[in-house]
Amino acid sequence: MKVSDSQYAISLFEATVGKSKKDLNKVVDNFFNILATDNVLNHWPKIAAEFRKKYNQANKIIEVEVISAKKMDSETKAAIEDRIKNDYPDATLEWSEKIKKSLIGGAIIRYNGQEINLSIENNLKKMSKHLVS
Amino acid sequence: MSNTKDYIIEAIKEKIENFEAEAKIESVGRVLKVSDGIALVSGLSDVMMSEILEFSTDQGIVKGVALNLEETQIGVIILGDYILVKEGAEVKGTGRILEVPVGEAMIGRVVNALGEPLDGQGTIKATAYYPVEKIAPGVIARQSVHEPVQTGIKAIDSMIPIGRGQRELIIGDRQIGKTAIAIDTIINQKGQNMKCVYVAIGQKESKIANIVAKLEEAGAMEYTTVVLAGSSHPAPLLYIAPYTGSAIAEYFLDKGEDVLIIYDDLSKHANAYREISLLLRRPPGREAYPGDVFYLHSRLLERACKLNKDFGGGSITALPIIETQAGDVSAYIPTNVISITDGQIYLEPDLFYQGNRPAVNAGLSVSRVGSSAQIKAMKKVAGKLRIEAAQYRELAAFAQFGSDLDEETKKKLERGKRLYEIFKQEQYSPLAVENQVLVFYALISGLLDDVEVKEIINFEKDLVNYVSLGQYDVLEKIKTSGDWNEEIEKSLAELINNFKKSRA
Repeated sequence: MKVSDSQYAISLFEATVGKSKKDLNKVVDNFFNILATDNVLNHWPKIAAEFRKKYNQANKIIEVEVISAKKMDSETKAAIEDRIKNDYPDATLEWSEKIKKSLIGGAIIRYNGQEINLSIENNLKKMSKHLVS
Repeated sequence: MSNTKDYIIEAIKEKIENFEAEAKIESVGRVLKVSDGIALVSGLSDVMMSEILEFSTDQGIVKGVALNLEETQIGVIILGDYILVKEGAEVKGTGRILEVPVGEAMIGRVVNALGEPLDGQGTIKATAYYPVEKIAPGVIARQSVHEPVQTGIKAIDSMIPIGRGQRELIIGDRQIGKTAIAIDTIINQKGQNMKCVYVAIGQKESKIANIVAKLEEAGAMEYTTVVLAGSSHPAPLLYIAPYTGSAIAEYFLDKGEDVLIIYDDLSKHANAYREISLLLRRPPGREAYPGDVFYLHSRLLERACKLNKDFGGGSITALPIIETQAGDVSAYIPTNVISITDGQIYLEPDLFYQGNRPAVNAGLSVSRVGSSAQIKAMKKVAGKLRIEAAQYRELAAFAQFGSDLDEETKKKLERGKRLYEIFKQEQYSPLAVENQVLVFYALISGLLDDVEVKEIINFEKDLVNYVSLGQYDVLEKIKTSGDWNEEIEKSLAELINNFKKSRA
């Protein structure tokens, strides 16, 4: 029976819950042995991504990606954090920031499979559609 | 000049001031895998079935429709060039179920399965957007079919009459005249208060170009929309094209108007759906079609209906076309569609090659609506034609043995030969209903018995020409009221006799 990447990831997660660091090493070793035996070692990047999703879900961690035209200041970061905590009050936020000058200004905020595009580039596109309509 | 410049500047300023930059939360996913027009997408946990998704590509947005909602991924059919979509590309949900532009602006246009123009006549300003998938009207909203659709084809209007709101299947082998019947029907709708939608699925684009040219020549594009999903278009567009046509027709139905829609052809539609389903890894059934291939066509054809006055009184008449292989009407898809429709027009290769065109097999063809969809005059003159045609076929086979025949049998044979000659009709030459009544009356009253069989076609042509040159009240009466009485019968007999005298 074929085991999906998601099922490998879930089994790894369940095997590592509540384990000490010493035991964790052993579990991870065994896990990789299983992957090698099943000849799916090359699936590891996808299994890792699924594991990360499962871990974040269980520990209420939300990965927030902010793409902005220039480096975000602390006030803006705090405002974004407040907005996300409105929907997910118990969550811990993990931030990643990227700079993309083509946005001109503003930012794109991505979290939990959702996106809010507040960039000037996006607004200019919407405005040009509005002018033409 | 400066006034115009100032006006333009003021108009632009006003538009900019009215612009509201709103922040919307959008669902975003990523492409896991893309091949053969199908993409597997992760994320988008709140996507709806048949929701439009937008793929970000280097050359702009490519649209797709979510068809498989699985636990960890979504199966999406790509409505465009799938080669532009890359693994890892961003996919956004739009929150809108697949919909197409509809409205008066669609009339006279050739559009693709998404309602985008293909005829180079500029963008289409849609009045509204209608969903491609829609639940058909319920029982209470409907009314029985009682108004005729005049196809202009003698063999059909007399023996297999079609009504407004009916589904009548046209079935036959390749190159047998199925599309010809459909096009002649569209041409004959001029002045009949009927809009037409021709949905071409998997057809050659050269064939469609010829059809559009012919419709333009006949003035039929003034009330016709052509939806084209050609053979070079991806399978997802072929899959949604008939539903797009139905949505365009439903706009006029909701306004209380009558619409004729032709699906040419549903065999290719089923093939495209099979292709998509197999690529989406749905379990194959009989002949590798998915298990819901019946539902594919039943939900499409149920949208053709006649609504009662409380719901506008409009109708959609559907003429689906099915191509059989070597005359096999008992194959999977043909039997499915036969069981859905309200009758079929069966075209036979033997008749075709004998020169009987349109090659309608009256024995195997049926209209389940029947004479409810005929005007009184046609009912009167054509009522017994089906039986006479059937009797002639039996007797003709018997007469081949060359035995001596009684007078009655010889008379029936002669009448039958003339009947079959009358049923022959050239392409793009639909005949108005009053002229059909005239011709059939000439036959059943025996006024054609003294005309040689090989002269029947010329006689009919000359008769139709003769009446077109004069203004005959009797024909006008038949056209407007469809009535039949002794006075009309007498006038017709007089007309035909006068013509025969002038011809002699």
